[in-house]
Amino acid sequence: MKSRTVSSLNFRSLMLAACSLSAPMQTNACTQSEETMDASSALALQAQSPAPTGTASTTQDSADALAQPAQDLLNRLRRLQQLDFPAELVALGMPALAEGGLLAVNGEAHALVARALFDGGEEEASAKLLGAALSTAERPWLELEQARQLLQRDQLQQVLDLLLTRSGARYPVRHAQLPESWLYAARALARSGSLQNAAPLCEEFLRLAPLHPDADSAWHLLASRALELRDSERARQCMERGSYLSNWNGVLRARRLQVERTPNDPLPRLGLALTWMEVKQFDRAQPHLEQLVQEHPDFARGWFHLGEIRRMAGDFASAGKCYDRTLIADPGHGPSRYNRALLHLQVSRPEQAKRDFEVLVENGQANQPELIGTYLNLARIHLAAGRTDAAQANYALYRDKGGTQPLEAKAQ
Amino acid sequence: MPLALPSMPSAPGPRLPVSLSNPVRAKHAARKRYLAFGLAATLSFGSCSGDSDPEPSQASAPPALTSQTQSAADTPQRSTITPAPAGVSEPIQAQKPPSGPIAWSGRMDDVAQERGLTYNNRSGRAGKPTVLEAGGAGVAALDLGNDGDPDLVFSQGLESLPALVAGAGADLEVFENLGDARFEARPGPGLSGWWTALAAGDVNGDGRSDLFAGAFGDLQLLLQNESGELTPTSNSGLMPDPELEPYAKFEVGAEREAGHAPRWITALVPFDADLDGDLDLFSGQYLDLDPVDPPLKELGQGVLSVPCQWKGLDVYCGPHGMKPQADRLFLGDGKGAFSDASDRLAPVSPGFTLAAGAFDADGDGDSDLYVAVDSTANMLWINSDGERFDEAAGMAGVATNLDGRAQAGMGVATGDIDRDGRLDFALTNFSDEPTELFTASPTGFQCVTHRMGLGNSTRRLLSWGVHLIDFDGDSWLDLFTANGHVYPQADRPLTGTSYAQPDSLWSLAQGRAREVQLEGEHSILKLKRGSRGSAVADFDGDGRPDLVIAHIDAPASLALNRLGDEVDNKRLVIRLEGPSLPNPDSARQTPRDANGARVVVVPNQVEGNSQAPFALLCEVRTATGFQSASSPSLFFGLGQSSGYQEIQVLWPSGAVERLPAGEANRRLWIREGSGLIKSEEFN
Repeated sequence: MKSRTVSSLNFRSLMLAACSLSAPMQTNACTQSEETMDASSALALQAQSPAPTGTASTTQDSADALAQPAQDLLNRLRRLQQLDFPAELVALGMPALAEGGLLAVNGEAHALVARALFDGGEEEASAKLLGAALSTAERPWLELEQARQLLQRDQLQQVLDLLLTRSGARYPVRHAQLPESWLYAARALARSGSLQNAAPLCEEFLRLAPLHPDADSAWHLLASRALELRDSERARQCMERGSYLSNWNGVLRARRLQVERTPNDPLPRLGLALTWMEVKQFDRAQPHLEQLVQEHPDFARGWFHLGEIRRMAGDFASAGKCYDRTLIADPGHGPSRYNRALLHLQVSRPEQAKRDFEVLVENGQANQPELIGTYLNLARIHLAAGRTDAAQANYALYRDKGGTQPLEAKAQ
Repeated sequence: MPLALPSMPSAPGPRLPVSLSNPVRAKHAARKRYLAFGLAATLSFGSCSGDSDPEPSQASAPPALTSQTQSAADTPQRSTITPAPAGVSEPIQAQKPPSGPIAWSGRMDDVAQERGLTYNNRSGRAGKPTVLEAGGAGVAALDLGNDGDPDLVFSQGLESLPALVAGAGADLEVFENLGDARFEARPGPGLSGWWTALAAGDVNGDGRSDLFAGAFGDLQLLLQNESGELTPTSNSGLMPDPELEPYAKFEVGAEREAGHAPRWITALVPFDADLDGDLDLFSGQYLDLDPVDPPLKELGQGVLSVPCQWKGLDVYCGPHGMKPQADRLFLGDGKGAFSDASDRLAPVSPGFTLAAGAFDADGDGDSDLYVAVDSTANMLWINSDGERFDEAAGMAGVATNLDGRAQAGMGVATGDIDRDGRLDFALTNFSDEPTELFTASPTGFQCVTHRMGLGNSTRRLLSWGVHLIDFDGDSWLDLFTANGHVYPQADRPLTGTSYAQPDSLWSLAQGRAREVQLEGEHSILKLKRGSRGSAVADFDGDGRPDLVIAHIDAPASLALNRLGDEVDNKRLVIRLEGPSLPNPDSARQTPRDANGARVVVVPNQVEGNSQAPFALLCEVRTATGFQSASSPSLFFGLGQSSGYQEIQVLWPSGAVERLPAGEANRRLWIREGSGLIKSEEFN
């Protein structure tokens, strides 16, 4: 008795779950757990490594050459497919595919509408769309959707015939630039009982699109192959990674749905941005945060997270301005003040840093576990200024609250 | 003639820690058990659809357990290539396209009305605004009065959830089989509630089948008395002390505050968890639904709420976003009292359980449990002497589909699909999710849904009740699914499915799923309705398994099996009984109704037929499908075989019993320690 609605999930638990398993895996969704995050690295309230590449970038690229109205429409069709709104997708997409329509010669648009029609039981109409005479450059989209439909029909050999091509003694995947080609071929092989051959295709798919909505499926096939090889540890890791991505994609869909329903409300859009930030897709999060602060300039959390993205991109000046805006909107926003202080230290403005740290001490926020680095940094500032007693007093407070970093390390 | 009881040929199966190796070791334990039976030496447990078994068929040869190369090479698509990341380096031949539908000349018409089966389900409002109202009902086929004819009990709901809150609940509905599958309504047991799952078994060992009835807010045990009446017990221990959990039970007619969800029972499986000969009970539970203030149209608060939608259409809320309830395990004392032993289930995150089935998944001689969960991962509970159950679905490959996606599990049925001497199972699911077939493999189970062509056939169906039974008697199992969507909105354009759906039957012979087509405008495979629970029993005594199906908001169906006659397929029906008295020499005991006993039938070789000899395997289980109980009789199709070479019974006590050759088309009664106690021709 299933419905496709998804409630908000606890990201913190998701993130921790991911941290516990990500180390040996290809896709490094996190670099440290909260348990290991000490005071001096508390700056890393968000993740720090560069974003993984290849996340559905191919689908974005294909629209680059389109005129803006056509690209907007294609993006809308993609969104409707992500949200599983088939009727709306068909209603919007069909006129655009007609002769002279905005997307009449666009393969991806044909594939999107064909998919909605097929899944909606209109298989003949779908086949007609996939038979459209499009340019060679656009054909891969149609063939990919054909392969997906053949999978649904259990026509596994036909999938392989469509997606693999003979080249000497080898059978490379056609349309290798489209991540789904690898996955669909892998699925056909797995469903035929050949996990051995499916596994390397899954790995290539995950390399191309580690956060693809079907990435969990690829991880599962890798887990199945590991089970076949009696490698239980590898199987467990693959299963956990797949489970994490499945949950993450569920949350992403819920956030998108919320934004769709209330596009002008800040919270859903913030949630969507944070969802991308959880997996270090800062370039996907940034436009949402920029739109958010533009529409809601007093929304402190929007400014803070935008500051975080800019800080992690190395744009300290811009990050500092974002923290300033956060504190104007919400003077009690501890993380912003703390991060701003660290930025001051980074550009050798210890007195300004000290003022921010002292505010955190005065209002008690320095006692919060994630901000106890306040005392350590104050201690180091005092030490650097020769104020030994003050340094020792602050360092003692830091240790009392569970800090483990040495006092003598260079302040950041 | 009574057979001598041999001693147990080998020690009970190994105690399996939950790890990757469990399924592997388990299956080898299973094979060892068959070897002990002496079957593997004489039979080739046939393979199908290219599935090869790496284990040797010679009893003396050690199984190749440790070689990874061996494992890899023995995947069904046998290949010797070493794949390269850039692509596939050898031609791949996927399976041949599955064969198309197959027309059978026999009939399975709905004759419920003419046979006096007048049950009519009520399951809430037409628009199905809450998840409870989409559940329909279950049905139990059990012998009331011990006259040999299976009778029927249906669960029942109300016209709406608010009607339950307002009071005046529903009773179970009882229909007596007058013989020859003619039914007459009898007074119900006098319960009041919204009834869901039913399960049958001899709880107190008096030789009469008793009934468990689950509800939205109740779980009752009804013991059958000498007059064949079902009498509710007052102190079964199946519901918590109201002082401790005041809202667990839904007291019909009593004032109830908002904010409290009762226990919602959706799956009941009687089985002997601890092998003491007394039936225990697995109780699957669904989710927290506040009957006073149920969620409507959206879940959550304010702008972060999420609309309850499916394919862009507004539908009832759940299960996603709602709180699942934990399943429970109760141990029986053999007299009708139960104690909560849920702490024997290893801690796991609860799921939205909708169905469950017991079978010996790891071949160690005790009963394990497979639990079909809605929208989250399914569970496989591996039993360690009843002391502990460990969850191993992920490592056994049966937590999700082959794509790693949790599906909406609705029903479970077990059977030896590929006749390899190991139990396999079918799992029904939501629309856009095929009914899955999992066959036992050296590393647990493998999904053969798509290889057998079942994915395409079932992807547009939402299926509930499910049975793996040889309906036409050709010696291959068939697959029946009871279908119908939960959302009336499924009839809107571009959903790819529909609210009312015909039920389905597939032949699984020779490793292919071929959809069966039957003649007759009243065929159950043509009538479009919303099916839910279903049960199998021989209602008219002709030796053929018949079907009864509960439809949501509609009259029930009764399909008397008229298949297989045109080719004169032979059959055998076996009814097992545990001993009247416990076996003092065995630590393990068989329940009086033989729940968990395994039977292997070796049909005679058909003259002029070059087919290799084969064996048919069945376990005595009544809980199958969705919220329903089937007859404990075992149905074997022998095809053209005139009889059987041998019948072997592995009793849960560990005793093994062998029957010598006999004729087909008979109903046999076998009692542990007494052998064949009765044999008669079909009506």
